[in-house]
Amino acid sequence: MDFHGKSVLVTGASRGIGATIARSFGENGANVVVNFLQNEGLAGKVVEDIRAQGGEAIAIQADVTKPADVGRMAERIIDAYGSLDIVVNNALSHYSFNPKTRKTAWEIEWDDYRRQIEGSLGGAYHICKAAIPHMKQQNGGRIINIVTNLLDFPVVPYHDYTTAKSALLGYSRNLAAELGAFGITVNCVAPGLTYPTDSSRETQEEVREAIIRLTPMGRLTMPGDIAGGVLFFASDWASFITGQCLRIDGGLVMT
Amino acid sequence: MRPESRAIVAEILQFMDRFADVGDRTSHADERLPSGTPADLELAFNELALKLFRYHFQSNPPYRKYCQARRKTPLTVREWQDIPPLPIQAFKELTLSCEPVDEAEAVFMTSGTTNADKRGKNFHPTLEVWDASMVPPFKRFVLPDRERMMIYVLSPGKDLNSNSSLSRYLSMAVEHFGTKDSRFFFKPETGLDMEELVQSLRTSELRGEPVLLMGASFSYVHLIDYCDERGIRFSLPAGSRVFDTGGLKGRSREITTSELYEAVHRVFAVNRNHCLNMYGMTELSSQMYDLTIRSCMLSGRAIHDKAGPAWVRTRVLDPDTLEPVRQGETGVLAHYDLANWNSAVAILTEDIGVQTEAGLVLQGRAEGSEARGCSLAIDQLMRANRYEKE
Amino acid sequence: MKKNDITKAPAATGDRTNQPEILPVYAVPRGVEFSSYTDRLIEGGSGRLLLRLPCLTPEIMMDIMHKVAENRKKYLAHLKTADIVDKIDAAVQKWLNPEYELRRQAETWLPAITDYDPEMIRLELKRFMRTFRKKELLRFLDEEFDQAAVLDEFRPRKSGGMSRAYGPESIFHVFSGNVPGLPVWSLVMGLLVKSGNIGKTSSAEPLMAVLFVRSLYEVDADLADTIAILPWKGGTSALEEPVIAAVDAVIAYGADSSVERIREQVPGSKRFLRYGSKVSMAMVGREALTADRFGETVHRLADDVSTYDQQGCLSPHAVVVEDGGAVSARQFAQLLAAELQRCEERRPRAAVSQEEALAIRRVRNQYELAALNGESVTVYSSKAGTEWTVIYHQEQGFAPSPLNRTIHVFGCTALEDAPSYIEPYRELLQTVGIAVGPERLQQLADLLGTAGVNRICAIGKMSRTPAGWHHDGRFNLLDLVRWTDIEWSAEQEAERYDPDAE
Repeated sequence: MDFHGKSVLVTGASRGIGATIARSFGENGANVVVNFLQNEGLAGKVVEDIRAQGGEAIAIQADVTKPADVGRMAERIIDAYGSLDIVVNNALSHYSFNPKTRKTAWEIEWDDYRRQIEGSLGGAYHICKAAIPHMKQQNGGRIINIVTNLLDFPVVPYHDYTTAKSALLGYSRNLAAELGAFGITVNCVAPGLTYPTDSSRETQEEVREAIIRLTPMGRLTMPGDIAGGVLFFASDWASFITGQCLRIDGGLVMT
Repeated sequence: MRPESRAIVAEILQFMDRFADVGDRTSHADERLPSGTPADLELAFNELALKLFRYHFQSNPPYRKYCQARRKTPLTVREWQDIPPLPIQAFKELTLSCEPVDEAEAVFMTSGTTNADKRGKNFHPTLEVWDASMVPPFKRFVLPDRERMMIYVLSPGKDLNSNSSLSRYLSMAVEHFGTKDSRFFFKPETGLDMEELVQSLRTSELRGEPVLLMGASFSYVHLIDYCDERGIRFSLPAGSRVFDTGGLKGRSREITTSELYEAVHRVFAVNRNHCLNMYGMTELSSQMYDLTIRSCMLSGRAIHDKAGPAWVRTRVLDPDTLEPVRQGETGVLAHYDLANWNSAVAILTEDIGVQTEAGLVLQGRAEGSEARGCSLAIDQLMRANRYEKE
Repeated sequence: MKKNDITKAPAATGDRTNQPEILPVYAVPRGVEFSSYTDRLIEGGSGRLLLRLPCLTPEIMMDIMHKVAENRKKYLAHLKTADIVDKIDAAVQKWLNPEYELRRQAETWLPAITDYDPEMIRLELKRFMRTFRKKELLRFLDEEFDQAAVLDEFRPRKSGGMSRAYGPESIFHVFSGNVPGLPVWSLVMGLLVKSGNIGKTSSAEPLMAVLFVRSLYEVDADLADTIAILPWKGGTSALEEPVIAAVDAVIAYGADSSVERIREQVPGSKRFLRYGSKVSMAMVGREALTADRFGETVHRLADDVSTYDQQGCLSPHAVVVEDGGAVSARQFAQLLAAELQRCEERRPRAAVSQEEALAIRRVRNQYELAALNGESVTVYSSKAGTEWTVIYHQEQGFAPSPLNRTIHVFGCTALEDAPSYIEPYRELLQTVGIAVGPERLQQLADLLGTAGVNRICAIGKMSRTPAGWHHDGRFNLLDLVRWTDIEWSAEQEAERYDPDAE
């Protein structure tokens, strides 16, 4: 797929899944915006890698939970590329996937939920709010939100994280219903436990093994797998697909 | 001028100097140029075009917005072909300048309506580049065989019309290439002084000194009508040539190019191979020429296609998609002129043409479209209004 | 390439299958012979076709005119109107059968000739032919004559005396090629007033008129013999002069320039009807923009814009969208843009000429530059080429379009302000497609009618007119006929000479 002339924003793209998605878009010709919160050095590295391959990328710092930050970022994107065609909402509030230290249902505080909802749903909301006017202007666009297969199968009940992602899925489907008329699609990608990433580093070996045993394809999800699904939704092949959620977990969840 | 502008101007002048002797494909493309290989030229052209694009993008907010709407920014434009050509209408609607317009050395305006607000304007903070762009190609295409010549000019010079690029062009031609007997025959009060022109032509005929007639294409129609009505005929001395520019369309009396050249032959005894048409626009800072005279001198075989200097490139685009057409197909012309350093390096015309092996063939200006049936297309309505006003 | 063809020397059978089908695009009375033809090759999705055009001379034209006149005098002039209606209906009924050979030919070849989308042609042609069924024709006649029998005999008048209407002995129709099938409408008019008909087709669509005459021939060969349909290049005065000299009436369709050219040739003594250039527009009231309705409203308007690529004068150049609905005029423009993109995917626009593409580019540039200059205008346009364009204007107004799926969207606070900005187009305005509630329709219609509009219809129906509509605000048949009155005095006088009178 050739994304030449298309500009794509990947939030939380300085590392992990976001960085891989950004690099994949870069490899396929897109003009990439690598959004980061703190890690300027890593974001710069992603940009460098994309440019080294002849692609085009810029890094922009913005806290996606802050509307003012997001607005400023959107302006900078239009200034740099003249358009915003594809948005990948990947950023989330810091989360460590550690089955041992996770909070149980009777320990978890409303503030924990709030933090995750702010990050996952709030972040996506602010980004979409800023992107939609541009997409309407150009009569089309693609929004891809990263959720999780834990929605369907909470192997480990990360209450706050998964609940926030569920909200993001609901948000995405409603958005899809209203934006279709403007030629904008909204879809979700729901990965399984992804390894290696910083967030999943603390997930113990035995949990990983347990998931692998249950997975038809016999391994954990890798960042590149997710990028495949995201690029598909962003591509012309998926121009008539909206409101969908694609599980990328080697068949662990089948719906 | 800002130091940035100074630097840009210096760089363009350097480019022109380096590639002054390149510009058409009459002698073949693989020839080794004194200034470098065609690849060197391509590289230098690309580099300078991109630099100009960045400069315009940064200095001119409306232009930046126009480009952004096309997703063309310094980050996404990597080859000169990616630079979005600006429609010539923009010269009417926008102020295209990187320097304060009230400090411009010259403002060239498109002709047509008297309302200056509705005329296209090309601002020249300095005329250095414009002048430097004019001289070498003129020598190359109009006078490849001689240094100077007696020039009779039918249209106003720069003293009469400081806002006309053509007037400056004609004055420059006389300054740089005219003998001391060269003259302008256009008078501010009375227009083209036919009597004096006829007399002067007679003198040149008698003395056997070849003359270069220069003027707007349509001024020849008037001159020819004048001579025909009075039965005046000349046999201009060998080496004489006729230079015309601009179109023949949209006047009260329309004639075709070949009719014009036939009439020129009939009245002045100057044959087709000594006639050439220059293609220039207010919105550009360089000119293109028929290869007729140059090709005849070089090979004895006339090529009427047009060519320009090394700092001008033309792309033929499909009007529907604005993508380049295949070689040999007609389309709308987009010119990339490095000399247009203050306004826009790439402009989209409404001229239809085709790229040939030797250069460019113009097929006239798009005359607007008609609906196939009873629905009235906007162009028809505009035309109807225009006629009403005339 | 050529060389390859020769060396391959394909078998004769292979050659034959490659032969394009030949379709005559003329219809003349029996007995007319042509000595030579030229063929025009059409290539389309359904294969290759040769359109066969006769080589015409002034002599042949005179002969044809003579035969048309003779046949009319011998036959059509004596037919009762009711019989003519039955015969037309019989031909139309054939066309309403999807399997009918000529309909299939039209559906196969019209897309190749006109480049309009096949599905659109199939649909529009079917809808169009339905408007010529018997009941529609009778309605059409009743609309214009109190009693259609005045076309057959002297009929008593309410005010005393008797009258009879005579159609022209012959009519010269100059067809345009923008909308396939339109010539049929004109021919039907001619038949109903019992005229001999000669039609000049446009090279853009030379087929439908001929196919329709062939259907009539299948129904009644003598009737078909009163019609001649011929293609020639407009402006060939050697052919047009003898025709104009021989007919009583001329009906010209198309762009003003071509209509005007014909008019110049027609002496003042002859009847001349013109259907020249017109513009149409649409109006959307806030009632049609509620959250549950705006989607459908947009869809129907997009249909009006895409049908025959606005080449018919019934198609909108602009739409005025009222404030106060669930979507703003700007959003309406964006939604319309997205809908036109979907239309393009479903039923692509016909190929356009370089001039047409440039005209669209010019308009896009004009408004885009105006927007850069700070005017409240936005241009929405198809990405690849000039397939569709929506130009949004914040201020109310009207502007003509370069057509081929280009439309202006104007915002407004109240549709009732329309007369202020449509006034300059008074002479040109034809149809207004409208979507408003019942309480406003009458009043708005009156405002529009006063401003010169002559047809008000639902949006989504703009390009389809019902039988008996007042084309360009005029009568159709009534404009063609002349009347002969027997006054009461003559009747009374006649009574006096009745030998058996008291």
